[in-house]
Amino acid sequence: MIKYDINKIRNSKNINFRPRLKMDIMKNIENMITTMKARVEREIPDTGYFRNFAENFENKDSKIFGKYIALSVEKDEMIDGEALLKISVLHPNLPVDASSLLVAGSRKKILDYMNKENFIDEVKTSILELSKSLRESNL
Amino acid sequence: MSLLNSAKVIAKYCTKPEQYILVNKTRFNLGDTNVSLVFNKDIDIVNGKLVNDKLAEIGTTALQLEKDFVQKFPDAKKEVKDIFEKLDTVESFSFRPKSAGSMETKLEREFIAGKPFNSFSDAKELVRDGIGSRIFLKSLPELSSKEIKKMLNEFRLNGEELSKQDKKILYKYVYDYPMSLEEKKNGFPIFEKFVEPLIQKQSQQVVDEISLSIVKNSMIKKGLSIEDVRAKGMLSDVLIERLQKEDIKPLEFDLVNNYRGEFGLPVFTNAQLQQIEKASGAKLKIISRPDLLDYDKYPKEYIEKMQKSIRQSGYRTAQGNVIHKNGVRGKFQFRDLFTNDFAEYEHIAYDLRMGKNTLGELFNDYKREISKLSDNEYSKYTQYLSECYNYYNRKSIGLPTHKPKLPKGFNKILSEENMKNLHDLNEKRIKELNKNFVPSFVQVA
Repeated sequence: MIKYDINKIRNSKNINFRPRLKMDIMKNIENMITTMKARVEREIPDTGYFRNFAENFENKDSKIFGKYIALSVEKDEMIDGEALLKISVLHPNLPVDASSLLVAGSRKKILDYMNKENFIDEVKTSILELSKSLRESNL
Repeated sequence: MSLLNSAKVIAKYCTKPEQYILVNKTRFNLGDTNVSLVFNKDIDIVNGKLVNDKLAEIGTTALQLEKDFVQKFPDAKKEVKDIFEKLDTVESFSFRPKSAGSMETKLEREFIAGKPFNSFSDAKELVRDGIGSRIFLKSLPELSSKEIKKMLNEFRLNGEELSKQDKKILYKYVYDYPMSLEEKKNGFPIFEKFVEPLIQKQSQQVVDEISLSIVKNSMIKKGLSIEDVRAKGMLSDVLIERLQKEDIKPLEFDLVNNYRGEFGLPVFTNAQLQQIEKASGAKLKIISRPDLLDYDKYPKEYIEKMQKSIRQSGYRTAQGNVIHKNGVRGKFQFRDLFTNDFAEYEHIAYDLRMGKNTLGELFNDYKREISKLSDNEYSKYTQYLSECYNYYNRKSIGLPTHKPKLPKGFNKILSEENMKNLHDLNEKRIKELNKNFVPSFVQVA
């Protein structure tokens, strides 16, 4: 019988161990994106002030080190009529999150970006990377 | 692991005065960096402690890493100075390669947590920040009452004038007058907006250099042109012009933490973080506290429940994980000198409370008083420390402020003044011990 040392395999530089996400979390991500698209359309004005907003769901997938996952829109504090779309993962036990930027620009630019064919894959990849950052942050 | 197990000699290596680590002397003397450690809970932990054999391998790797970092230290230091030294808002720097003792602790913790390492480079990845650089921001001059009055008169929140009630609370905030908790909570977002120009005055130059260096790095690594940078909105027009005209040094940032406590001001404002995010794109991760945002990113009730689990000392620093040109990972910390001095000793209360007892006899009375505090008292005490952070921070941005007093009923040993005194005495003692100290093996175990 061949014996494998799973830790050696995991640490090997040649093998990419990107975990696959469960079906129900994929559904949650899809739902979050759909709701967010509608809110982007409705809530980001051409110019002027608007309130920042977010959509989230509770994570039940043990591969992700995080309690909640959120998509948020923050007003660009330097450019009127523009916003930043971010993806975030909340630490499982602390009020601390890791976030990264998906796209910045006008309402149209953000919507075009969200309608890209591979947008959901990009969100999924970002979630996994943020989860890794949170786990490694040793908070 | 190497084939030297039969001849393995485990020895104590004194890394600093009064501090030692266990080392596989044979492997260390041969300069053998080959290491492959797999954690087996049933064999490796005895009486709650990691066995000496494994600890010595971890210690050897830590010592080898220290050697590597010390070697790369001068270049990394120069790289940081080349970027930030020219700025007139930067006061000074401090640099240090990570010590073997600190790396041994970190590697041991990671190892027990199920992150074994199969090579020297794996261990280096686990350590992450081999070189620490602190960039100290200059404090702003104290604001006169005339300047404050002008700022208050001109202040608008989202383009609108404040209500009479909000004006009253903001006034209290600006002059550091006592407030009810409700007033504090309601008024803080307004106060934060009000002081943003002061924070920006203190840290904008640094944020601009970070943004430029990040973009320069992307241009080199991803082959981006100036036109790409403009089209992607990575930098403002002013910074693009600087990018074209000046010799910008590239730097790779992959994580930014913007630590601050409750009712504490950040080192970088939200607008500044956005600037860094836009310069970096998706690869940069920002670690921050969602409870301090002006909107609910997650369910409010859940976040409020979680607030109890965070260390409420008011720790304040902006921090970035970087990869230096010579490949070594580093950590940048940006803060003012007032906050830095306080941060040097503020953590001792938390460390003692968490059972970390690395402090010498000098701290015995302080330790005893900390251990006597009930959870409620300790929470009140950390609130006092958090107020001290805010006091020093306000001083650094020129706002009027009053030094917090130790709450009634607490032994004066616990005062911030005494903590500073103990810290200074301890530093003096360490300096004396370091005078003739040379790291070396001390005894065969």
